[in-house]
Amino acid sequence: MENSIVIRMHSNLCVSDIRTSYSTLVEAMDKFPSIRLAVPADAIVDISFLQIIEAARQRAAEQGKSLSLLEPANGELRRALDRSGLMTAATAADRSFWLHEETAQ
Amino acid sequence: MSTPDPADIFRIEAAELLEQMEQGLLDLEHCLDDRTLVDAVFRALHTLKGSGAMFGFDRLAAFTHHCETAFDRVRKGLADATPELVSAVLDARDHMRALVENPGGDDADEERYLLERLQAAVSGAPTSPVETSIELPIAKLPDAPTTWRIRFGLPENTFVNGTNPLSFLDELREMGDCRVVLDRSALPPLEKLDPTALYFTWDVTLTTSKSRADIEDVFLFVMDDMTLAIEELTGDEPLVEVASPVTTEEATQAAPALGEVPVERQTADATSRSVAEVADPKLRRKVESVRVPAERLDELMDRVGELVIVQSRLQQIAASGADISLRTVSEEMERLCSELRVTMMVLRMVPVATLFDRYRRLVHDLQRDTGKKIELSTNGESTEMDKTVIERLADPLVHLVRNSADHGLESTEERIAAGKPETGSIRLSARQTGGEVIISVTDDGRGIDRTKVRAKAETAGLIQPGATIPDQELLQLIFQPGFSTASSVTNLSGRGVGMDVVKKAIESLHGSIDVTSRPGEGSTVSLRIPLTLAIIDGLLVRVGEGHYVIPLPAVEECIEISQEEDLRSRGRAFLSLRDALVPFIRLRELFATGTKPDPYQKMVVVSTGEDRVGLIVDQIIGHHQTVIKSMSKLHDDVTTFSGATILGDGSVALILDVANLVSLGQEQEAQLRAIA
Repeated sequence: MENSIVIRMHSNLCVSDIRTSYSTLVEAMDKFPSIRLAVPADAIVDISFLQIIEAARQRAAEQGKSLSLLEPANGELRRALDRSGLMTAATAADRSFWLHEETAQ
Repeated sequence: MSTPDPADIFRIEAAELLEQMEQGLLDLEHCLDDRTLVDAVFRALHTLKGSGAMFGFDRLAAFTHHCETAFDRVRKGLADATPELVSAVLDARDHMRALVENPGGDDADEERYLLERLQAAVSGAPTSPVETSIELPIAKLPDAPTTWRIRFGLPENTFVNGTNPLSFLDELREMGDCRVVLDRSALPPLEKLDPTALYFTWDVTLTTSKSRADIEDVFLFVMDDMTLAIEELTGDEPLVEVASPVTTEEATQAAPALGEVPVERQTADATSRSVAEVADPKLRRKVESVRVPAERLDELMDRVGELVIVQSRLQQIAASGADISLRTVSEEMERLCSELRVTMMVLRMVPVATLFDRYRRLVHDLQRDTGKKIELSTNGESTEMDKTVIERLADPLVHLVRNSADHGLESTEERIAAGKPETGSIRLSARQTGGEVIISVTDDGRGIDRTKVRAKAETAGLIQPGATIPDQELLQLIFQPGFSTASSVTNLSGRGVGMDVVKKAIESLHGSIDVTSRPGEGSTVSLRIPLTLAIIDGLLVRVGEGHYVIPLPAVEECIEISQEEDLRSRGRAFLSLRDALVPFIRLRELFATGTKPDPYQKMVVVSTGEDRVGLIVDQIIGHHQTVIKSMSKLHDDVTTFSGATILGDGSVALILDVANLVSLGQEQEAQLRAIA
């Protein structure tokens, strides 16, 4: 079994095509212990994408797998995070995952 | 299976909104001060406009926008709700319906006329400005900013309906200082997640000079399906706390609650629901429903019908062999089929209220067209019928209600002169008896003029001059094609088309029509309609070598007739049954089977309401789930059978039309009584 995979998400990360992203993510989580997601800066993002990533984070945490973003959220993804209010009450783990911010020791 | 056309989906939604709007307007007409009704109509207009624009029905959206703007003046207390406004919006609603059906309709003049009427209806100042300013909170917007806590959860199908939750948050942000906290606690595990469903909920703190109504307006599109709690914060409450940063490990340990925002729970308004309720998927599921196209229900019904036939075949095979296991499976299959059939029937049943509601508008328009004062009342609206039957009853009932309004009810002057209330009454009622529903249209008008009916029938050659015919038969003549006693033709009725169409429609539903009428007191037309047209419980019987099905709800009892009793009853048409004489029909003779009777024949006593008749058969085979198949057009004139069904061995059994057989028995009884 390969140890890790980088999933290059396509640029439509909205509900109209979210099933594709969901299937890819679920399959990768079944097969790989470490998954990194590459989200294009110009990707169109809506809440449905944030939901599947949050659910994937939950599963990764439960199964001891590694899930991360290849780059800190920027562009439309960052805008969707801010608009949705997901970052308002973000925990250190949230900030580390989405923004690659390290927890102060 | 093909994906439904979004325009068709919108049309279904629009039909519901237009229906809500119409009912709201008709209610508003009687309670012009009811703010709730004004809001409901406004919301329907607003949603129709928004959805119309979303689905590309631009002309509809533009027209509805004007109506919404006009109605908003009422909502804000700038104009009064008046009968003229209600009437104008009702007509505008009809135009909207036309634009839904034909988005490019070319009737700009009609549109202009309707908008001018609307404009005229709302251009005046409120007649009671003081009261209005007291009643309507719109007039007392707070000057100082208020802090609101807004907790909301949108329906899971939000995305599918084309709604973007982020737009609500953007709108709230535009209102003032806004702090949005997302709640992830209702998010299911990845493998159970439907990626197109919405699970997030929100907790928003907003400081704004806008009113609660303005905040509610943000959610106007989805208000009916969402959970929303809006609280005014006075400064004494603990504010929504931001989660303190935790380490990744801590987050992992708290895995089941990932995404949970540590919000201090507060007691919500009595009228609102807490965040916990909003987030609880079980509670959210309570309000979920699935919209299924009617034709899919029909398809499913057909499949269930075929399954019932196959099950019947399996039952026969199992019964003819000695395989215990096969019998067990067959019995289990029968039980499941029966349950499936019941479930299917329940799915197809809709309350008669959905039918009756349509006639409120009709009566509203009839009052205007006839100049008569008419009150429509209904009862038995919760009676349920198969949705196909209900759809097919709509037009016949329109004819009957129109006929009552036009011919039945007298003018106001005539009513006053006759010592009656000036407002005429039309009552629609429904009740279930056995496997039938009886829907009646009753008016308190002048009643059917039998002399005129007779004269018209004689002129038309329907009856011989001076012929003696029973009252019910005379009244039934009004359902003959081209029959009308109206001396002048109106645009409502009186052309002699309608009542015969009603009869044909009811007969096509295997139903029948009864008419009663008292001169000067009014008339009642009762439609007896079978509950369903799809599958019925039947009693399978044998007559000669043929098999027949008697609808079980009509069966009262079964009696064995000994040879002696059979011999005693020769030449008579009655059997004494618990001190009552019951007319009976020997089906062997009626169907001319040419076979000898079985030594022990059976009498199945069937009834329709109070009338009953015994049907003599050779053998009672037993209960049979009967999938009704229509007879061909060639058999239109056969009144003894209402349909056919396929038995397990592939043979055909005819379904007896109980109502016709009972009336045949009653005729027989009447003839014999006349002879006696």
